Amino acid sequence: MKKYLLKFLFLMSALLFILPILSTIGMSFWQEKLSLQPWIDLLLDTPVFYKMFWNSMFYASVITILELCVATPCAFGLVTSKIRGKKIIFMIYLILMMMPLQVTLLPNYIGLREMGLLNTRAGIIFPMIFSAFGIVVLHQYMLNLDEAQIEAARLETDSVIKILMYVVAPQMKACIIATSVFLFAECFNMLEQPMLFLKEERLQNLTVFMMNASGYEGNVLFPASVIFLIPVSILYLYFNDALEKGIKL
Amino acid sequence: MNKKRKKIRLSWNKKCCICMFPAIIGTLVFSLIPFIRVVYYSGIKNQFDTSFALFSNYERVWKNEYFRIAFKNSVQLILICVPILVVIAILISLILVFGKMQKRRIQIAFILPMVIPTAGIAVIWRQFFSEIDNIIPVYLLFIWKNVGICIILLTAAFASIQKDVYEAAYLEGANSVRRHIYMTLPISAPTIFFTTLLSIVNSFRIFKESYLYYGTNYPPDYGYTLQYYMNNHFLKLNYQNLSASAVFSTLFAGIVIAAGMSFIRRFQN
Amino acid sequence: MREKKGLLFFTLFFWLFMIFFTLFSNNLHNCMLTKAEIYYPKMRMFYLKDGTDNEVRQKCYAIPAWMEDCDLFIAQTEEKNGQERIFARNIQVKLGEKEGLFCPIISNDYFGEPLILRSENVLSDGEEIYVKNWR
Repeated sequence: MKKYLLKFLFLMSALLFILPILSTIGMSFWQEKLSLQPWIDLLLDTPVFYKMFWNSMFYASVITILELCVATPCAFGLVTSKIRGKKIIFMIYLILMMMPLQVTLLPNYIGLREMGLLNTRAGIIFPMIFSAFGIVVLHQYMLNLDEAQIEAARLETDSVIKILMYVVAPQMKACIIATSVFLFAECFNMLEQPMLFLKEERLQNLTVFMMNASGYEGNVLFPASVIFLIPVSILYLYFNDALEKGIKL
Repeated sequence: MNKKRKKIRLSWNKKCCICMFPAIIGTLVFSLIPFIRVVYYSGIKNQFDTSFALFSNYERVWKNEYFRIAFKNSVQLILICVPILVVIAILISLILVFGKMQKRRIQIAFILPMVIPTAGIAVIWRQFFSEIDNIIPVYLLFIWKNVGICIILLTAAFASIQKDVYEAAYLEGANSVRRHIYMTLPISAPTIFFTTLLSIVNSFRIFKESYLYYGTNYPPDYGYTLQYYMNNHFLKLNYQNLSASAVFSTLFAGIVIAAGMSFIRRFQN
Repeated sequence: MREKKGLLFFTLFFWLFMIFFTLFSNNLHNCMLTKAEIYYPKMRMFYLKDGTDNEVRQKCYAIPAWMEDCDLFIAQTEEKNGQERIFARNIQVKLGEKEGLFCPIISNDYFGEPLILRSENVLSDGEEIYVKNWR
């Protein structure tokens, strides 16, 4: 009896965790009574939404792909090379990763201003590509790599790219997927960068749309939230195994 | 033979350097070199009079009433919210790993909030807590969002404990609560500490949740954190104050991180 | 693997849904609006009574005489949700006596905005409309 009670309580708490998501979905069909009006308002009456949705998708995918391309070799180099000072480089990345965003934003802003990249798409993308998160997570996972295999591969080929593609990447599959999902979620959710670096509405992303949504006519907030939640949830549900195995810190 | 081998190693090192090159250049250009400028800005009087004022900017920031409120709230967040978060995460992970139920599906429910965009959920949060006039909704949002990563790390640690560790305790008749308090937790202590550190670090980033929840640059006093202070100075383009508080936050975060890391390292040895 | 198949299906559906609405939301939106036709009133000479016995010849905006008894709506652009859109606004104007096929607008606050000639349904003030012959 007690056991069932505990089980019930646990299931309830799990339900409590997804309750906000479920009620967001529920509320999107509600306007004084059950109705599709919020969805009609959003989908047909607010064309800005699409622009920002695809902007968000664009930023998130481009940043994720490019950061993987930059971070994987870097982490590989940090793990396999025998340079003095690589520990220091890694420590710098670790600290950078843990810094509050507001601290890194100001240097980013100054850097972008010098290069004239403010108010452009590149201005959002570049600083995020070189964020430390990917490097740190990939580095920690690579520490557990089978070194003998890499040594063996080095006798076969001279090309680092080949080793990365055919020896390292297959072993890192879970980690690479987990990192990409995290990066994608993070970029999809970014708020401060577009808010501070971008002025024009056509470049903004969905988060900024949600911030300003009360300014739009109709009850668009809840349906927009639902659509906002879907891409990342799909990614997570699809890759949840990799996500739970691929993170070693 | 020996010589040839050395030659290969050298070129390998060089190749590794080339691999690291783009990332490091990017970090230098977008973060580190500008950061030096931030330190420089924090030391000068203003943009037109670039004479050094050493600590006057820091003093001004430190004496600012709102900076103090913000600082107090940030510390309070760490002291109250992070322990609660870690305890909840430990409890859930224990049940997930050692409980006898179909856990795969349930685990998804706890981890999903981690990837969910905050902006999408802030709306319903406002609806839920529209009448409550204190900081608790933001704390709940923070816990809701950050339990997932803690559970991932903790369940991995708990699941990797060998089962025969428990057998002796089992024979002695220790009940499950005692067993976990005296065995599971000490064995996985490094992971727990790391989880705590990670949660503290995440609490530095609570601005986004809080900002989306309140929907304004000027939340009530109890919700005003360091990041608001910096964000507002950002919007005013007040570089001196901003730089000083950025350096200040960097130091604060750096000290917390370094202390945590060294604590964990000492514990592991 | 079975549940993942469902998820894959849902993903596909979601993207098709988003792409469909991105491409066609404007058209669908226009379909839902009341369709209307506008015309720009022209100036004509009218004989107006000015309170005394004299009649004054004056240039006024002319509307077709059959509209004399209807509510008059003008079409004007306003910004809504970040886009320029066309709305119907009810206007109250003083009409003069009709001469032949036309009727003069005497009020001073009418400056030749496009008038709605006919619409599919009965219009209400401030309703968004779709104008076929806009500009």
